[in-house]
Amino acid sequence: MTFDWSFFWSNLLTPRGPFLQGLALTIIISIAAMVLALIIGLVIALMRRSAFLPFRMFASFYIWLIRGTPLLVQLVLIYTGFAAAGIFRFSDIDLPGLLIKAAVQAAIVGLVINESAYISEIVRSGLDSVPPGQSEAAMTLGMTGASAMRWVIVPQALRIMVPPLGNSFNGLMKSTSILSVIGVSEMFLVTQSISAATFRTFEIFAVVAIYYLVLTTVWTVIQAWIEGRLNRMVGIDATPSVVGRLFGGRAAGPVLNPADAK
Amino acid sequence: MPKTDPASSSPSGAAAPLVRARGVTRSLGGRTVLDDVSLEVSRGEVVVLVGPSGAGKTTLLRTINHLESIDRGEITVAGKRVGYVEGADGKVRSAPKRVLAKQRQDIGFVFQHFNLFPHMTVAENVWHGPVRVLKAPKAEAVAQAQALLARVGLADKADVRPNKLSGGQQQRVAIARALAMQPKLMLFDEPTSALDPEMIGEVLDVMKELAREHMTMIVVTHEMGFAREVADRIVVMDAGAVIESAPPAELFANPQHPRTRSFLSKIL
Ligand SMILES: Nc1ncnc2c1ncn2[C@@H]1O[C@H](COP(=O)(O)OP(=O)(O)O)[C@@H](O)[C@H]1O
Ligand SMILES: [Mg+2]
Repeated sequence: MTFDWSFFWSNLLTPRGPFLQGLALTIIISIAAMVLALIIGLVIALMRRSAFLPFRMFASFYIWLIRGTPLLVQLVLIYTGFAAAGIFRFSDIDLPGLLIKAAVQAAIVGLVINESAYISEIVRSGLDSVPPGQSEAAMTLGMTGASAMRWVIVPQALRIMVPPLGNSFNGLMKSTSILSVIGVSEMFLVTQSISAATFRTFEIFAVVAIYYLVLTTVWTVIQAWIEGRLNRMVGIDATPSVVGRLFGGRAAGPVLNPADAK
Repeated sequence: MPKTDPASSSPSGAAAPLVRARGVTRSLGGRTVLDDVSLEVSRGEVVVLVGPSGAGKTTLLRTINHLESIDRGEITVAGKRVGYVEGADGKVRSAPKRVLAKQRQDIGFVFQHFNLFPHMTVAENVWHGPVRVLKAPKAEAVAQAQALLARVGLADKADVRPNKLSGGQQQRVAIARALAMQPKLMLFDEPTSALDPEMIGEVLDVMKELAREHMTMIVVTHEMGFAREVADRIVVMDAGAVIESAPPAELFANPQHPRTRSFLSKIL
């Protein structure tokens, strides 16, 4: 069987309705899961740094459990396993103008739980990267711990956290392809059904690969913009270009002391 | 809201020292770093704290605004314990965080390594405390910051990031940042020892001017020229204890303790 170029081009440039809906679902699930995972990851990271031992123990247990098991297993457990065992069953939520399918809910919950464990470690090491002198300086001005966090620690930690968080989001967008196993009709599942109906497997998977590439590339550009802004906030002017970061790897990190770079 | 000052409102207030440390003891990592230290500093007094490395000078300074807790003894600033409260039952407990934060507003601290906020401009570093902590109107705080920066000779650097400044300039910003809170007391921990020699003078000049304006200051430094010129008293520490305390002229002319003599012979 030869490569069917016209099938390839028409699916790439004028995708079918279900494919576009799958693409939209992939984007929506990715963004929703990332936002919620950031919030929960921050909570877990703060629990991990808490002076209250049960919080620290819970956070460590959570991270250990989630990072020690595959996402695929977690998803099937949450959606199918819990229902089979009679623990919890997702059901469709029908809001006016918005239907959230049970599988989509399970998908978001699964991705959030999985991603938040990794994010909490990124957040923790970001917070740890801010020298203790910074919070001491904040305290000598009479700031409370929460205020020092808000105004002094977090803004500086963000600069350290954004590159790995951005990579996480990049990975998360690709992980959504796993959701096909619980029947979420995201882009990958739609691709599989087109493949099954047309037998143009190679062509349609080449198309979906390009769509994932477009998603992750757009994100790389956005991430570079965010990183540039955060670097300028601490007086660092040099940021690797988008082209450099797409094809040159991440070797050239931000330069803290511009004098050293010359 | 006017700041109330319990010490000055009490009958004996005028004469009471601004800082009073009594029997302060602190162990760190199994070592007694401060051993029964007592120290009194009056309002408007400039005390220079000297002693060999490891004597406990930094630790003592940090206990005064409770960056470091104490195991025994008592430290009061303006008549109030710092970081602790005495309950009705006479037991001493840690002060609530907000109470401690409020007390620290009155105590400026200048670090050896400046600890400026790198994500803020120089001016923001200075007005941040008044705006976020004292809830001062922003326009007023910005104007005050500009005036303070002018006072430390950095009016033209208001809008740059700290990493664009020299060490001496950064330390002057750090002093302005502390002064913006209008503290009653300023603590300096070796403010010039991280600086290149040619920048030491500009920082000491700012501190000398503060001393002339009768700011109460405790300064850990090895700059004996500065001590001779502005200190009312030099306090010598060694191995976690205060071993001697005298006005500079007296101390330099006639040191009492043998370890003061050997220390002075090394740095003079
Ligand atoms: N967090 C700590 N843990 C253990 N030992 C400490 C700690 N901080 C200070 N010390 C010790 O306490 C002693 C006094 O330290 P410091 O107050 O910094 O002295 P100085 O400022 O006079 O040089 C030193 O011997 C130092 O090693
Ligand atoms: Mg020291």
